[in-house]
Amino acid sequence: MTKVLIIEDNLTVTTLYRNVLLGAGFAVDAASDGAKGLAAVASFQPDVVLRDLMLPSIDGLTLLRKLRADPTSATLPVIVFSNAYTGDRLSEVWEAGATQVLAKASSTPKQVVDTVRTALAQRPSQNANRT
Amino acid sequence: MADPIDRARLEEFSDATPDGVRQPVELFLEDSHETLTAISATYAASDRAGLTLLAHRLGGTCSAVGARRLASQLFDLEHRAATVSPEELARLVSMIQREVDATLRFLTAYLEGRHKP
Repeated sequence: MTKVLIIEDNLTVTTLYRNVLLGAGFAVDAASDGAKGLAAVASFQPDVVLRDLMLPSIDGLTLLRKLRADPTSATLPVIVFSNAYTGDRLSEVWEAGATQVLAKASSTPKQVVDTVRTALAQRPSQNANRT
Repeated sequence: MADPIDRARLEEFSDATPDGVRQPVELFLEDSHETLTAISATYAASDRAGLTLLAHRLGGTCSAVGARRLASQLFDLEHRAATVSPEELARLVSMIQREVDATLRFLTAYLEGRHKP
């Protein structure tokens, strides 16, 4: 089963999207801050990550850069899902290696699921970095 | 005035059955009630940094479920709480309290309406 990791410090948003993604047929795990998210990438080995930008312990940009610097997660699809975009911040998110960027306010649950599916379909090579 | 929450968005978080819709609505009701209580206490303690964090937290929930007016008010509080005058802060918090109350009333009636035969 395809695995989605949600990294989000808002428990209500996590629960809502966990249910939507489970209903769409994905296996879902969640982490509530950047450090736990990084650990969950290693332990849960998600196929795609859906994550907030403003996170406790390790901020979203640093987390994204760490994932891209690690050969095991360098090509992992990472969808950034936030409301904290200014022009400069948005550029930084893309430069840090986001696969896709969504605004919470304007994205419907269906659009989020569709974006997850698209990101999965566009993966460079499935599980190429896994043993 | 438009509904305080986008029902279509909310229903997308469920299988659209009465029981299915109840879960996201109740999650939102619980979160917004708890956070509003915390906002009131934090405002009374003059903790502006705390208000910023709480506004960000509830604003994220409101954005996700389509409570756009409340999300906009919380965004305003999040970005201005640290610097506005005490009078303006009181106005922002009061406006949010009224909008949360209106949203909770709307959702309670919405849940009851869905279960009418």
